[in-house]
Amino acid sequence: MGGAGIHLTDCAKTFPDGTRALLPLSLEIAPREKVVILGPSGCGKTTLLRIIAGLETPDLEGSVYFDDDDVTGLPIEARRVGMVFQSYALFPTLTVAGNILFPLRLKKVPKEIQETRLAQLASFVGIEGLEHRHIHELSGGQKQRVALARALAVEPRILLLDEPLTALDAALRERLRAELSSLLDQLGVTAIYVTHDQAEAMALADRIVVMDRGAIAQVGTPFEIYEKPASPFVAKFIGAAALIPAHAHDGGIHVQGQRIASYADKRGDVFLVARPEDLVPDDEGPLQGEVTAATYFGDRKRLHITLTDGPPIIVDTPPDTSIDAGDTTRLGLVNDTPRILTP
Amino acid sequence: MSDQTIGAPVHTTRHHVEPKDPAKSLSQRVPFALSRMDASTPYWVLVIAVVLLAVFPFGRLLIAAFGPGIEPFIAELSRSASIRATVNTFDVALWSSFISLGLGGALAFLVGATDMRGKRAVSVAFLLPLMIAPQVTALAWLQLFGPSSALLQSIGLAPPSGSANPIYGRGGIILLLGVQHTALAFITLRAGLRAIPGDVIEAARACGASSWRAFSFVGLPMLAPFLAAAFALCFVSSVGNFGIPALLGMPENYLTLPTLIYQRLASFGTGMIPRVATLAVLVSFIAGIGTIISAFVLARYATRIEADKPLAPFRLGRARLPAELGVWGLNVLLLVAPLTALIAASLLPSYGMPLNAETFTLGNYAEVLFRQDVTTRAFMNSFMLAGSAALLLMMLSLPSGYALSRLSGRRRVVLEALVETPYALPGIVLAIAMILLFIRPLPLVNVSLYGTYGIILIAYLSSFYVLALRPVTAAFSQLDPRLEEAAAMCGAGFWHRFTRVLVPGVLPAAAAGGVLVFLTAFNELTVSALLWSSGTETLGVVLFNFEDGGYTTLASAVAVVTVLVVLTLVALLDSLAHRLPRGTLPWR
Ligand SMILES: Nc1ncnc2c1ncn2[C@@H]1O[C@H](COP(=O)(O)OP(=O)(O)O)[C@@H](O)[C@H]1O
Ligand SMILES: [Mg+2]
Repeated sequence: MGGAGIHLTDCAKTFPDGTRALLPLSLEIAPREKVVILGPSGCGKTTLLRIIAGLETPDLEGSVYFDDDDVTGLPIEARRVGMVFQSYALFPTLTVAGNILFPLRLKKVPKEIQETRLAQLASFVGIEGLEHRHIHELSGGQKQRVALARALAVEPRILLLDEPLTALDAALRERLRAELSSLLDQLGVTAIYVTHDQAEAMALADRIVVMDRGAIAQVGTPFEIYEKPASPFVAKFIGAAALIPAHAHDGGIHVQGQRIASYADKRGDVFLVARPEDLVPDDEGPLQGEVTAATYFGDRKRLHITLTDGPPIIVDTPPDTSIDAGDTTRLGLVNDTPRILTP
Repeated sequence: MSDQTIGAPVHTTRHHVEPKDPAKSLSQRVPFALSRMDASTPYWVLVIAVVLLAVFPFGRLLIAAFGPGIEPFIAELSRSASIRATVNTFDVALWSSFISLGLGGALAFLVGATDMRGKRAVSVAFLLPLMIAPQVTALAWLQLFGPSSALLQSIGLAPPSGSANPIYGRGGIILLLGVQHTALAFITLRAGLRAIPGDVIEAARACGASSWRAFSFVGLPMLAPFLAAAFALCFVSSVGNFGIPALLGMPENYLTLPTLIYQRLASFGTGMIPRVATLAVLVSFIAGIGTIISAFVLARYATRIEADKPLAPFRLGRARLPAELGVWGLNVLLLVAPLTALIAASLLPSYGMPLNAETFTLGNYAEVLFRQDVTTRAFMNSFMLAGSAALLLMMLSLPSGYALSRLSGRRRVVLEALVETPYALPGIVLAIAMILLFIRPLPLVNVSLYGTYGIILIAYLSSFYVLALRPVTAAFSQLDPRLEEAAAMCGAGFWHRFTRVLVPGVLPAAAAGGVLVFLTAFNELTVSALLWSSGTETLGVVLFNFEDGGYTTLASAVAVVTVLVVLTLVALLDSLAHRLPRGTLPWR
C-alpha cells in the first residue's frame, strides 16, 4: 500500500476560544512506521491527529509535510489519508457496502473494480457476508471493522486511528487489539494510532509518543518508554510507577540513608522508579512501610503501602502471601539494577 | 446488642415495634377528602380530563357527520363549493409549504451549519412571526401592499389608487401562509441539522468528498426525515389556518375549507351545522394525516436528539457578508416592513392618507383603548378568557402531567395522542365540535352555554390543554424518581410527597405552560370567530370585524396593541428560559 513519512514542524493549535490545545511541537514519522500517540484525556492527542489529517490547521508558524509534499494548507479530502473515528462515524443511511465503497464511488471507479475491492476489504477485516446489512444492524465490533475497511478503501498514504477501540467492552477490545496489530503489520502503511490506554500502545507501537498537556513528553520504543522514562510524568503514567526520592553518592543509590543498590552514573538527588513488580516483601530489605490496603486478584495480591517518611507505592506479591492491611513490612528490590530517574 | 454483626439486617422480637403505615399516619393530619388521595388520583384526573376535553367533542363531531349514514356525507362532499374549497385548500397548503420549506431550510442551513455571524439574533428575528397572530400578519401585509399604503406613499412607491391590492386572493394567501410557517420549518430543520454528527461529515471528507459533496451525499439523506416532517407540519398548519384566508380570500370569494365552513355558518346560521360537520371532519382528516406522518417520521427516523459532536460550520468565505445581508434583508421584507406598515396605518386618522407630521395621530389608540365599548370589552374578554384558561390548565396540568410522566407503553401513547388531538386539529373543527356539544342546554341542569363565555373557555381548555401539559410532563420526567422514593421512605404519603416534594420542582415549567396558553389564546381568532356573540367578542373577532367593516386604522391599532402584549410576554417567558426543561419554548 505504500506509506508516506510525516514531518511536523512547530505545530501548535490555539482554538478560537483561546484554548491552547497544542504547544509548538515537531515530530518525524518514518514511512510505514506504526506510531502510537499516548496520553491522558484532554492532553491534545486528537488535536494533533486532526492536524495531521487536515481537519484542523495548525497555528501560522506550523507546517505539515507528507514526504516532500507540503500539505499544511490542504483540506483532508485532498490529503489521501484514511481515518477511523472513535465514534465509528459510519454513514447511517448507507449499507455496509455503501460505506466501504463510498470513496470509490466518489471517484467513479468502474463497477467491476468496486466489487473486487469490496470483496478484498471485507475479507481483510473479516466482515464477509455482512455487505448488505444496514449500519444499525451491526454490533460495535463489526462497526469498527467496517470503519477500518472504509478508511482503507481510500488507499491512504497514512492511516489515522483515533481511539478506535475505546467504545468497545474490555474483552472485545483485547481481541480486536491483537487483530488490529496483525492487520497493521500486513498493511505496511504509515499508521498513527491515538489512545489513552498504555497496554494498547505497548501492543501496537513501533514507537510511542507520550503527550502531556499539549506537549510531547517523550518519544521512544515501548521498551525505552517503559525502561527509561524521561520524566516523572512518563514514569507515573506508564506502569503505575511510584517515585521514591533517593540520593546517589559513593557509587550507590541511597534511600533514607540506606544503600539499596550500586549506581555510578550520576551523583545527587534522583528518583527510584518503583513499579508494582519492582519491589518484594523481604525481611532483610532496606525499605519499610505500612500496608494500607491489600487486594486479592487471584493471580496476585496487590498491596498499597505507605513508605515510612516516603510516598505511597504499590507492590504486587504472590497471591498466597500472608501480609494484610495494617501490617508493617520491609521491602527489597527485585532487580539489582533499579531504574533511576534524574530530575 | 454486641452479638449483632454490623450491617446485617437483624430481627429481634424484643425490639419489634408495630411498623407504622406511612400513608395512614399522614391521613390523620390531612383533611378527609385529601386523605383519599393516593397515587392513582392523578391518573384519574388525567383520564377524566382527556375524556371531557378530547373524546367528547370529537366523538360528538363524528356522530354528527356520520350519524345519518354515509350518503349525506358523500353528497355534501360532492357539492361543487366543497370540492372547490378542498382543491383551494390543498393548493395553498402545498405551495405555501414549499415556500416555508425553502425559506426555513435556507435559514436553518445558514444558522445551523455555517459560520454566519449573529445567529442568535437571526433565530429570534425569524421565530417572532410564530408569535404573531395570522390575522395580524394578514392585516400588516394588506397595509404594506395596499394602493393607499402609508409606508409606500411616504417613500413615493405606492401603487396607483384604485388598483386592486395584490395581496388579496390565492397568491397572497400562499405567500403569507408560507411566511407565517417559515419559523416551523426553520425549527424542525435546525433540530435536524443538530442531529447530524460532525464526524460523519468529516469521515465523508476523509473519503475524498469536498465539504459540499459530503454534506449533500451524507448530510442531506440524514436530514430527509426532518424535511418530510417539516413539510407535513407546515402543510397541516396551512390547511387549518383561518386568519389569513379569512382576511385575504373571503373578500374575493376565494374560499378554503375553514373559510367555507365559517361563511356557511355566518350566512345560514346553526341550521347548517350537520352539513358543516361533514366539512369539519374532512379538514380533520387532511390535517390528521399530515400530523400522523410528521409524528411517525420524527419518531421513527429522527431518534437522536442531538449529535455528540456538532457539525463543523461551513466556511462561507467571501459569500458570508452577502449571505448575512440577504438574511437581514429578508427579515426586513417579511417582518419589519409589514409591521412598520401596520404601525403606520394605526397612526392615521383615516385609511389611505399619507403619514406625515400633519396626519399623525394617536386617536385610533385612544378610540380602541378607551372610547369604543366593543374594543375595551374585547380587551377585557381576551384577557379574562386567556387568563382563566391559563390558570385552570396550569392547575390541571400538575396532577395530569405527573400521571402522564409516570405512564409508559400503549396507555401513554394513546393518552398523549388524545391530548394532542384538539390542538393538532384546526380551530375551526374544534369550534364546530363545541357548537354541536353545547347548542342544546346541558342535560340535568338545563343551562345553555351556547353564546356565553363558557363555550369559548371550554374550547380554549380543550385546544390548549397540551400546551400546558407538555412542559409539566417533561419537568416531572426530569425529576429524579429517587426523590419521590426518598420522601416515601421518610414516611411522606402521596399527597404530601406530591405537594411538598414534586410540585415545587415543576412550578417553573407549569408557569411557562400557563404563559404559553395565555399567549396562544390571546392571539386566537378561529375558535372565537364561530363561538362569539354580542358581549363575548375577543380581540381577534374585533380586529376581524373592524377590517371587514372598513375600519382599517382601528383594526391596525388593535393589532399593534396585541403584538405589544404578546412581545412583552415572550420577553418575560424568555427570561425564565434557564429554569425550564429544554424544548418548552418554541422559539429557543
Ligand atoms: N474545537 C475546540 N475548541 C476549543 N477547545 C477545544 C476544541 N477541541 C479540543 N479542545 C480542547 O483542547 C484540549 C485538547 O483536546 P483533545 O485534543 O481532544 O484531547 P485528547 O484527544 O487528548 O483527549 C482539551 O482541553 C479540549 O477541551
Ligand atoms: Mg481524543
